Amino acid sequence: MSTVRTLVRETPAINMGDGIIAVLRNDRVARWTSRLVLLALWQVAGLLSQRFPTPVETVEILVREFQTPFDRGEWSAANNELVQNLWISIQRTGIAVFLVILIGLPIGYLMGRWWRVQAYFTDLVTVLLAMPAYMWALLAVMWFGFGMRAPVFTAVVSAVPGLIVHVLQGSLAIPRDLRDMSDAFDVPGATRLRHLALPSMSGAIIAGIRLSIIAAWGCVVLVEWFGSNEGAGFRARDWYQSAANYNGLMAWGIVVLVVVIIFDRGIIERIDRAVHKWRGAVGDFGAAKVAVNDSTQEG
Amino acid sequence: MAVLKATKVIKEFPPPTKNQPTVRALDGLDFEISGQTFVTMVGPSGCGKSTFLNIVSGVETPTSGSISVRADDGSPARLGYVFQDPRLLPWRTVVDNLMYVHRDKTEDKRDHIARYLDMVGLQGFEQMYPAHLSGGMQQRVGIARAFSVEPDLLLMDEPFSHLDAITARALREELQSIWQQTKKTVLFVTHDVLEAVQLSDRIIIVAYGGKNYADIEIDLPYPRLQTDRSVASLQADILEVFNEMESKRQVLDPRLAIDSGAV
Repeated sequence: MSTVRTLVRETPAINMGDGIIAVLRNDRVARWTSRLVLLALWQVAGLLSQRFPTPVETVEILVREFQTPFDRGEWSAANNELVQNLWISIQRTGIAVFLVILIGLPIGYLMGRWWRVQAYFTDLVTVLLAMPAYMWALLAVMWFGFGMRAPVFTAVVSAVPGLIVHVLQGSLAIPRDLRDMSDAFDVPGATRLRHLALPSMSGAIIAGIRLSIIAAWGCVVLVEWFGSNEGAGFRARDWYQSAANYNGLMAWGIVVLVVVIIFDRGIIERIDRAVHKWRGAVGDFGAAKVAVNDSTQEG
Repeated sequence: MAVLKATKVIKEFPPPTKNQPTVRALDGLDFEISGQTFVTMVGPSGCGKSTFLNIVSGVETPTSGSISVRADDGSPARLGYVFQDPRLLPWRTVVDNLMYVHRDKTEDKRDHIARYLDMVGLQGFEQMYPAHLSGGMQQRVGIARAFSVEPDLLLMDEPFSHLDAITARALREELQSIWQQTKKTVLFVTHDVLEAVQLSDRIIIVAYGGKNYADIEIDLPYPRLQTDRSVASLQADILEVFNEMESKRQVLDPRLAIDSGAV
């Protein structure tokens, strides 16, 4: 006689006794606990040192920056020291990152595809990687003076080699068997680039762009510190040198950090998730409920 | 007119290290395949079967000799290829994997592709990613992809060798049925004699070193099952040919008797 037994195993429900453990193991709780601990440490450090502003003092400075009209003009929600200087730095970084992608992506890809291109650019990329950003910053200010060109130039030359190295690694890792399959079916180059090369390199490209944005933002702020009369870096230096105000320096430091975090979490991570949606789809397969069909034969 | 004509094909690979001789994978392979036939190349591992398919598909070039692949009407042939592993794009759905090898990206082409997915029993799985599918289903996608280009010559490189015995057996039977429907010219490569007997109407035996050894016509009715007495009997005869080939090789080089047995 034959019987078929079907077992359905469900994820066990969390009861009240497991509540505290479940909360402690929760990912979101862990993240927020870490943030609150950092904030508390910052407050303690501010109270212990005269030269280290507390979170409250920092926020006060930012409010004051928001209330001060930009460049002695008329105040508005868009035209104040906080928003305008930040916007100028973001624009410079945006232009720099656009140029970094425009230069770094094709060079990195072609270096992975043709050894001759790799041979041509390897030394140049190594030299650019080894050159510290502050050297470029000093040279750029001497060459281009105050204005947009020096921060953008410094950001581009500092961030391009990192992106090239990432894209090169991605280009080298395009699966050989899928390339051979494309050869066998005579798939056109544009289709291969779009459906094979770019998706295959997407992890490396996104990681490279993520680092490029952070590097470019750092360079722009650095050049603005000593080679500009506007932007987040300039404003931080202004508080530090003109007013000897550590609170102002700290406040702009926090703004610089927050912008990086917003870019990274708000934009790059979302793009990463969207591009790699197929990995998530694979992970969802049969995750919550496991059905086990157990067929047994009985004499 | 022959769909495929191979003339004295030789393929040598550079030596793995400096002081070693070049490696000759194919040594004057020479045969023709006419349209609407299912031809299988059988030979021991390392005899150059896959290398030959790579040359036919254009992935490799021969060191000397020539291969011409033409459609029945003499125009350049369209090729389909089923590999040992499915070779699917993991970031594309089943239907998009098939679309990848087509230049025409219209809705009509999607309908055309759906017919081939239906043919291999994958209707309802079009929007799934390859990782959602079992190994056998992934290989079915590979088979549908190759048939969907409506090739003048379909190359199949040990397509069932990575599958478990039960799945491989089911797919062999499905392949017979698909081939009966489409009658595409197929060049199939395997080292499994039973598989060759079950599927093909001609078997080319390739010896070690990539040389022609025997050419056998098979005139058994389809469908052929592994359990058919006629299939088993022919398998035994062909294994005898392999034993004879192995004996001759050992006479030429007695050291080989130590480390290799007959098939």
